[in-house]
Amino acid sequence: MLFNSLEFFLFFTVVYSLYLVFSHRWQNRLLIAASCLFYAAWNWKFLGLMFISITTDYLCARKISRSDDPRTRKIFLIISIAVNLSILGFFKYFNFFACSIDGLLRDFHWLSQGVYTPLKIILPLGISFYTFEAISYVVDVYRKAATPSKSYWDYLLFVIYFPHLIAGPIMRAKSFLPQVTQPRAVTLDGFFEGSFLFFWGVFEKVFVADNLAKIVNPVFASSGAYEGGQVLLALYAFSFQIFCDFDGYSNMARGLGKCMGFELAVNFKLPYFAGDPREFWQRWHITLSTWLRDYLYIPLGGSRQGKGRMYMALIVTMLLGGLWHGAAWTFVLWGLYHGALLVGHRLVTREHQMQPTGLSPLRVLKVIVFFHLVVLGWLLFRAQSIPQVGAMLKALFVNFDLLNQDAAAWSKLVMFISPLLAVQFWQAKSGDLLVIYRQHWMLKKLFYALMVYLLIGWGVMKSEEFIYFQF
Amino acid sequence: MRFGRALRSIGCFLLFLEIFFWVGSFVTQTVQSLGNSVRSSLQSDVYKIVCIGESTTLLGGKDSYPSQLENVLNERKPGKFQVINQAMAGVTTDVILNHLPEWINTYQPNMVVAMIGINDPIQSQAKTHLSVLKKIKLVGVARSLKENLMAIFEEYRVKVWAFLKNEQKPVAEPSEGPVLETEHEQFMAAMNVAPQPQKDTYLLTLLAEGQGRDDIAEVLFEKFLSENTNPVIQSWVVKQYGVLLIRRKQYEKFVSVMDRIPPDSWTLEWVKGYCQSEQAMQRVASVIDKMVVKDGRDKLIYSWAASCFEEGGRRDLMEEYLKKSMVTESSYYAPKTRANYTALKDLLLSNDIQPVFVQYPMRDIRPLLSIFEGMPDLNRIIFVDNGTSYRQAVNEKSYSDYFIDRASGDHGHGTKLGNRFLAENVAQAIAGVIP
Repeated sequence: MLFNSLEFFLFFTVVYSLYLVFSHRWQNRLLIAASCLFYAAWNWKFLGLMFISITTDYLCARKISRSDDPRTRKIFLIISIAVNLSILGFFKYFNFFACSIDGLLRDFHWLSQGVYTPLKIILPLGISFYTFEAISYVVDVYRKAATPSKSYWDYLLFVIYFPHLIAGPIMRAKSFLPQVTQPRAVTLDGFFEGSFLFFWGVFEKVFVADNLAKIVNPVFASSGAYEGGQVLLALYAFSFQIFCDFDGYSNMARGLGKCMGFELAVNFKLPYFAGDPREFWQRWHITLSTWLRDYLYIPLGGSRQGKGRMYMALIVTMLLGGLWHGAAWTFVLWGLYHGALLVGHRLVTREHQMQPTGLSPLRVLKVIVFFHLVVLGWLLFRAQSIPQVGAMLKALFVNFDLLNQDAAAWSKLVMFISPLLAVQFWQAKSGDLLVIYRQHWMLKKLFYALMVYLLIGWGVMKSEEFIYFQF
Repeated sequence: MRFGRALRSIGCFLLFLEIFFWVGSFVTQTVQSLGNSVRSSLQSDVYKIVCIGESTTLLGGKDSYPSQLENVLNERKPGKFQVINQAMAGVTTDVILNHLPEWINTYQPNMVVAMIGINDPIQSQAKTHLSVLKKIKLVGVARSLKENLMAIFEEYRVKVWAFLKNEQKPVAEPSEGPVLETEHEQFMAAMNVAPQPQKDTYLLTLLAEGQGRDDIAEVLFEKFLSENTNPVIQSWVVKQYGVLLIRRKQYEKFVSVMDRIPPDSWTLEWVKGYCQSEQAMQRVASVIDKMVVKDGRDKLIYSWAASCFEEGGRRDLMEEYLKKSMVTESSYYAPKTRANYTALKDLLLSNDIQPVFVQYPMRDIRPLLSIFEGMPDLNRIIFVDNGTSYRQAVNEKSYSDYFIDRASGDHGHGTKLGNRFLAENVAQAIAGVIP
């Protein structure tokens, strides 16, 4: 169920009404049932798969916490991670790797023709997210950074809680498990704030992202000769599409959580205002980048074991982070690209150098330049194939027809991102993501009326699925 | 205290929203008029067509139906045609008629294509204080939203119902044999595999009818229908039987026989049969409810029923069904709309401008035609029928391929494809008069 759908609206109305009258224990049971139903609405068969993963992790974590023998602890850690990664690996990457190897063998003429026909493997919804959350739980228990859950049902809810089940934010046991096990305060203010967040998320998704998709998709679907301006337009549009898609979803998730008294982590902090790659990853998909930092980068050596090790760790982490997004070489390239940017930034920046802040011209320039580097990266992310990347790059730099631009399409882009940018600038200036929510009630009504008007006028009825849905 | 604050909040929100709708409408209108006057002043020896209507005509920019009409026409004769989109969102025919002299003056068109009336009040006795409500744009928006929601709910209801009844989806499955297109072909195929005694009975009915022995045929039909249970065969044979019963003026029997099969558009033709029977007329109401056919003609049944009752001498039922037909949108034009349409025709013809009147997608052309019945200059009007063609197209593909919403209930604002389809229908209809 998409959050911005009628089914979900009905579903949530029922669930929330019950939630308000139930006691804490029954609230948890209700949420478990609701989350199972929510997932099953997509495909009930994969519910079983999720339960296998959850049960394994719960038992392994218990074993780890109850044992003092380092070997036992390590064995169960490995079992848990292995199970999680195998499931993820099989469902997400099996075809990709097999096809790639097949192709490679053919290229080297070790095989005259391909022997591998891709299996019809369905990608389970949310698998990348719940797998990562599970791994973080077990590793945290192993590191004694978190106390394991005493109740299977609490752990179950921790993983499958439906607002964050499909596309995050990836929550840590330390911050989220207590919210599950302890009673939560549902306040009127929480409800209003949650509703505001949800509404803004819907606006981002339905007005901005889905409309921009209509500009982006035709360009990437065509295989003919590209024109530079057309490619640039599509890239700008996609940069905001993917941001609004994902930030929108995260806001909707946070909003739903807030209504129920849960605090889900903020996933985006105005990422396009970043001036360098390091800052970008502190602002973009925060829960994923902190996950990669804590469970991949630091174990690989992090920044504590010399520069060479650090660069290698950065590249590998980002490469795997790219791969996490999808089973295709374009995603790997995208990860590599960002890894290279991070390494490059480290090489160029002196340690403890003063970074320009605020609205200084240098910072503004840095932000604009870096934004365009990110936009370029999105080409790798969105392209259907590597040849397409090449063709589009060529068009971008060589075949730019400045006079023959599609004014209508450009003005559409401007129209759809203007409200978003206006809000973001306001958020940046005030340093508060919820700045609009804190304004005078009349101003807020004006804001709501404008958003509703735009949604009614231009909201796409049958919306595109979230880009991150198939993760 | 809190209640007052909530009310204040909501009121403020609605007020702002209404203002945004007015501003948006004004801006779109201005932009469009500017665009039109710029384009119009440039060309001189082109064939000018002005499209008037409401939001279904206005919206879409390049993908709107007037733009696509221009493309379609210019494909054949490049540069020869100019189509000006002078539609206005959310207005009634009164407003459109008021502006028309000014537009005729500005654009000097050769032809005016009008698809108007959707926003006009349905009730012929609209009370005056309600007219204020109609001025509020939010009311129109709310109505549109309501239609959309109703359509979504209806879709779900159908899906859930089908799921519960475990129905097969009416999707063309690749079949082994030849695809059976018509009902007759299906009937023949089913008869081929029927038991021989039943086949014989059926053949005898045909023989009896051919010999003019309707009395024997009636008996044979009864026998056949009691033995055979195949719904495809039943559906076909019952209708043949029904024809015979009408011929023999066995109206009561006709009614009871027709009740055996699900009513469809064919049955509509035989409403008269029901109306001839005093007994049946009592039951017509329930029969008519069953006869609601999802092809846009359902509302028309009421007016047909009314005329039937009139013939059968039941004036009370006639009044009732006439009223029912008046309050349904797709079959009836309010007196105000009819008057405006007539005024439009007169204005255009007196200015030597070719009138082209377009019925809304999915709707029957007959109510539109009926406005001009008996007028001497009826043959100078070109009508565009979007009923059957759209219904067929939507059946073949899907509703959402042609429309982005259900703002008008049975249709809505068009997709690029939907508007192109409309443009092609119009182009086809005017092919005879344009250069």
